[in-house]
Amino acid sequence: MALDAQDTTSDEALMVLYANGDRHAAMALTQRVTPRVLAYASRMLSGDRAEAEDVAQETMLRLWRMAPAWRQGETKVTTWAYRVATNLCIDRQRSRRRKGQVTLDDAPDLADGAPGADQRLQDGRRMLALEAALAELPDRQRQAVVLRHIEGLSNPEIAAVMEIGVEAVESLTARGKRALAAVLSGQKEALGYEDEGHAG
Amino acid sequence: MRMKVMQDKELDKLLAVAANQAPRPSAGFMDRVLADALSLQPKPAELPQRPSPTAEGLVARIAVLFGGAPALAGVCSAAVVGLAFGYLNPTTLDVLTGGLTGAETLEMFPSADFLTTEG
Repeated sequence: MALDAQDTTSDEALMVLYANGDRHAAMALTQRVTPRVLAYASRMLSGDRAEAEDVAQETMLRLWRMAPAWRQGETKVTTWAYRVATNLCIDRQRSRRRKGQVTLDDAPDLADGAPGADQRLQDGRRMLALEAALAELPDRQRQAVVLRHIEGLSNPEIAAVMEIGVEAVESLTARGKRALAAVLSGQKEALGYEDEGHAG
Repeated sequence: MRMKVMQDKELDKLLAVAANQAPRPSAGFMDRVLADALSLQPKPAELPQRPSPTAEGLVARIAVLFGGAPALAGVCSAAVVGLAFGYLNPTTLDVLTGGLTGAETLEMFPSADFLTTEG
């Protein structure tokens, strides 16, 4: 049976197939889960590609190791993966803070497709500013904002990842966005946003 | 002094751009993850192998042809009984058949003549 990232077989069923020795399931899960974990880790680690890859690879390693004990119906594979990646990212952030590393130099690799060089440059500046602003948020607020507004998870899914209630997710997301807006407001002009005349 | 505040709309747009510019994994990285997956993948459970018929004796092979040892035993028993009937005195068989074999003729349908009689 050929399975790929577009196959309709659920991630949870693929885990069972993987544990039974199905190589196609290994490929399908790799294609589906790895990019999402890598993108999330990259946002959580301020665009540090090398560290994000380490986190994503370690998350997937743990997924493979626990596959034989996977119990369908208890949790979604992506929820589990985001949760593991979150913990790994937090560990690395704490380690960075202890070392006092600066993270803005680790710019994310931006996907192609920007309409022109100027736009691309501006988008790049904005992404760097966003990464830096996200890095200033408390860990939980950053997780909630990234999962909700960048990874596109629903509030109940985020609640499952963060192991908190949906109301707490809503509160964290709202506070996180307010904090982001406050950090980015000082750079509006530099980022190419026109002043719309709102007084603060 | 007027402060330039980032609006919700602008922030949402910025976040949407970020969502569309997710870092893509390189082919090399994906290969490494897949290599991990395959190296840690449990091996498929092997089915227990049936012993080859050729490794067994002649009787066992014949038993397989007849559908197993019990079936072969039944066939052998029937053969022995058949041989016994063949060699034994027919009078002895009367005991078993109730004297049926001693009859000159045996009409199974005594009144079936009407079927072949015209008129």
